[in-house]
Amino acid sequence: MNILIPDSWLREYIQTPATPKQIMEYLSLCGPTVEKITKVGADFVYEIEVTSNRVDMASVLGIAREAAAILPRFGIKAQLLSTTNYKLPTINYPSLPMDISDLQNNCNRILGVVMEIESVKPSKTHIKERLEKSGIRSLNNLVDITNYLMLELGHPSHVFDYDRIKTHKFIIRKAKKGEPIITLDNKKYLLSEDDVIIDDGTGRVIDLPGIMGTENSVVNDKTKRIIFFIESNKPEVIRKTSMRYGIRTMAATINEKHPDPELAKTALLRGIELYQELAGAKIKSEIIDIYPTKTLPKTIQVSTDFINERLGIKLPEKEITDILKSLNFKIESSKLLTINYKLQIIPPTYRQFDVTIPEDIVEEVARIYGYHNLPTTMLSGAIPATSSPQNLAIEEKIKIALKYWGHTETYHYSFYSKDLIQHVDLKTVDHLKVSNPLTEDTEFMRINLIPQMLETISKNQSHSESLQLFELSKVYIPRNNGLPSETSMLAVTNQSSFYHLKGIVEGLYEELGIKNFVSETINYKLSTINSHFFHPLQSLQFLKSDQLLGIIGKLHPALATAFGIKKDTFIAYLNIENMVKFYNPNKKYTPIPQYPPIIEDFTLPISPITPIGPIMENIYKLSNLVANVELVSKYHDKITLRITFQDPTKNLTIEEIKILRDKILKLSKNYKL
Amino acid sequence: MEKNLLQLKKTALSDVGKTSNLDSLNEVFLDIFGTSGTFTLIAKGLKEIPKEDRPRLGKLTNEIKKEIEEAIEKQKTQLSQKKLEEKIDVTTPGIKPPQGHLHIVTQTIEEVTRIFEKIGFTRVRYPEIDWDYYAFESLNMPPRHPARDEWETFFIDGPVSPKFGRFVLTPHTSNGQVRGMESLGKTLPAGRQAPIRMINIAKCYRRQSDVSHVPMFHQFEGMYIDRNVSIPHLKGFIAYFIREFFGPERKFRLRPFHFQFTEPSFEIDISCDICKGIGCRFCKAGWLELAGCGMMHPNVLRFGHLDPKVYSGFAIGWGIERTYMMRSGVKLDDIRMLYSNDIRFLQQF
Repeated sequence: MNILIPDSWLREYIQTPATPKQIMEYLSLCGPTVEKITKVGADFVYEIEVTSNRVDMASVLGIAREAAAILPRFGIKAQLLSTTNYKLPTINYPSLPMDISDLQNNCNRILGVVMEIESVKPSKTHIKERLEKSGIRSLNNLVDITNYLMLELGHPSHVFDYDRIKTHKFIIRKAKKGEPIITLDNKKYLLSEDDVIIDDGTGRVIDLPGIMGTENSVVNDKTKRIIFFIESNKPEVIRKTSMRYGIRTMAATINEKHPDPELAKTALLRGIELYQELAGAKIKSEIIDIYPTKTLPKTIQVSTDFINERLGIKLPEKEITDILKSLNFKIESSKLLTINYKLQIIPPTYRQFDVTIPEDIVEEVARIYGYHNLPTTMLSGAIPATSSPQNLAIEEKIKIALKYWGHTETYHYSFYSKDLIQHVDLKTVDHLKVSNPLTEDTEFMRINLIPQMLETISKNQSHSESLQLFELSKVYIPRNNGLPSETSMLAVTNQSSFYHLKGIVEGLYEELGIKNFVSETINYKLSTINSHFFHPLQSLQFLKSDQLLGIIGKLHPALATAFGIKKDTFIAYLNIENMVKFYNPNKKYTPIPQYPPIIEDFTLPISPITPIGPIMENIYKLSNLVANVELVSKYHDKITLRITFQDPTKNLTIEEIKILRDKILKLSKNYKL
Repeated sequence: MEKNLLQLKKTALSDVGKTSNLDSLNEVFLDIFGTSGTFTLIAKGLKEIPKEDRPRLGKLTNEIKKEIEEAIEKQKTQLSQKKLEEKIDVTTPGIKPPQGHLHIVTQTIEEVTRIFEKIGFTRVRYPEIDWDYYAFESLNMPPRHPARDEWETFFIDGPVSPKFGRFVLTPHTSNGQVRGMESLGKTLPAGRQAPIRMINIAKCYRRQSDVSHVPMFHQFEGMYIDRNVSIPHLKGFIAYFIREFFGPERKFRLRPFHFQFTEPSFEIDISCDICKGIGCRFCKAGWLELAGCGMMHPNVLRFGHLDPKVYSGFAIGWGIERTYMMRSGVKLDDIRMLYSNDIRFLQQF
């Protein structure tokens, strides 16, 4: 949480020649971070970030305590001005009735007192100004005092109109399920059994303690008598209730962080003083203080060696204890110096929930000594023999290859909308659902990379002649047991031709050393990875050992229309995990042939519907002397193949070539028109 | 023979003069002086002529040979000279190889991986949909702990494990801390659980979306565990990264902070690259928040089955996107641009 502290108010608690800029810089290095200083009139206001473990700092007093410990480390004098020794006021009897009970132990401590006030009026200017500089709106003197007190000391409190609670009873109890409450900002809530409320004995709810007052008991213009009330709540209850109804008052934000129950008493006494001063209050009852189980700070045993080991330097014991004492820690060092000699350290009550283990002591010493004063040392231990998962390196390899082959990498969110799922004919039931999506676009975890890619193609088609895109990311597939399966997939697109894309995919397999894979038309049963994205007659699947490496094909015309994609678009969708399984970086060496190859082009007449792949494969299989078969061109009913003949052991004779040539021509007759 | 020689000379000189490039000149040379070249054949006939004519004809043969050779040499020089006169328009644009683009996030991940590999950190990746246990509980944040608020976590509908809780979309890479201790520890020789030098890079998710926040982003998490690890080691690690990634002129500072899973905890600020540390509208008094870090909390070590009496360590987490932008001078008005996949943006990197 961030708090605003006026400089003028802070200096009521600390005497120091430090400038606001120095306070900002030095506190940030050793204590709370001062995010900025704003000049307001002749005053300055600090905006300070208070971490959730340090609720003791969320006040003028808390910041002053930190400053008093930190500034002297930078050579600047700082004296904490003790203004917290409030006296128990004298009480004018007879006491007005007030009955507080907490039979279920819902609070750690409850304090209350009845006062008669002179008048309800706007606060004095200096109170108003301080509240406003601290970001709180001024209402009237009675309410302002509770806020002023919270800012000054860091404990929330509440003020009731005594006469609006006819029974003068305060029964603190768990709410009933569905019990209604109207808070003082006139909002209605139906409570649950986990919430804690105050009942006036008639079943009427008169407060949501620690969070917000109710409309039916709050002070107003006609208030004559008040009950000033402070309770130390159970932080977890405050938190749950406040989060459940979204009532995030400053009081709730503090109370859920467990402020010091000891501070509650100090706050009550200071509050009484303020009511006397600013509202002409007279005390009309005894001070009630219900404090069944007092908690005390734990003694922490820690050796100076332990502290110095973490600090990486050797601080003398005196410096360590001086630092701790400057933070009001008590040190009981045992007189007996033994080998296992340890400091016995007792934190102040306001640090009792935050400082509990030796590491916490290390932090206190280290931060006040100054992290900037510690040396900077490079790691020196042994380098562990652990290894990185192979797929990370392969993914990187693939991305780099695609980049240099002219593709632009995209990154889409891992979630998409129900609309998009339906648009591409997938089913929401196959998806993992986000329980608390931010918008409908973040509702379902994607099981396929293609849908968002189609949106991106559609969106970008006017910016490029031919979009060559890719994304390599995980998809999230629900499983019956345990965590979902997270599989890395790769989607590659182009708008040139099926064959260009097929070449890219084959190039990738070659780059990864994946050999002897099978490519065939899509088997719809096997291809559970959404083959319906592809044109049924212009698509292909790659398999190895019955595992699907990937699918490529022309985007299904229906989807192209649905997404308004104008150009013919081709998509490859590859399973990275399966590619990783067959990854083989080892290359095999074959000696460079001593004898020159003979290369000949063959133009063969074939039927236009004949698949070329098998022809080339069969020519390759004709003889060991056929070293390579390449497609040069295809035109209507003719194909031109460039065939390399080679014998690694000798020069080929004209006769040998002739035999091969005849075989090829004979074979090609099978494919003739 | 004399007649033949003179005829040859005439033809040869004319042939040489007609050549237009070095290749054809070479052909002419071979036609004349090759093993069965015109000159070679005539010169062979020298043996058969009468003795008294030999000195004269021999001399003539040599003279003609020299003359033709000189002509060839001269032609060669001329032709080479001519090559020098061939001109092209060098201002015509080059023919580029296909040039694609890697996303900024990929580029940064690669660079960060390299930087940490050099000091022996192993890159890993863990589930993005993980158990509450790894994302929170084993990080010293029991259910309903207020510290969990900071993470604006997305939850996933699904079964609730009695031991591990519900599915969450990991709001930080710190789920890799206990996972790292569990899995990397196993790859060490038997009986050893540390040292561990891990860099975990993964997608993270938080319920936030505005000009400076995206619901999906990337983090990298460094974790170092060994005996006697101290705060100066953490400072050394940070200093190394900042020098390698941002350059030697950037300064850093540690500010006390609070995380449930580290003790002590810090935030790291790096000096602002725009105002050079003076203070400007992009920074807080000359500093930019870079990362959160701290010494590993003994409870977290215990969750990873390591004895905090024996081992200590530190952990540190950054956002990839943020880190990149703090270096490069790429100041995006709206960080969501990174994931909008407009090629006019993507192709700038």
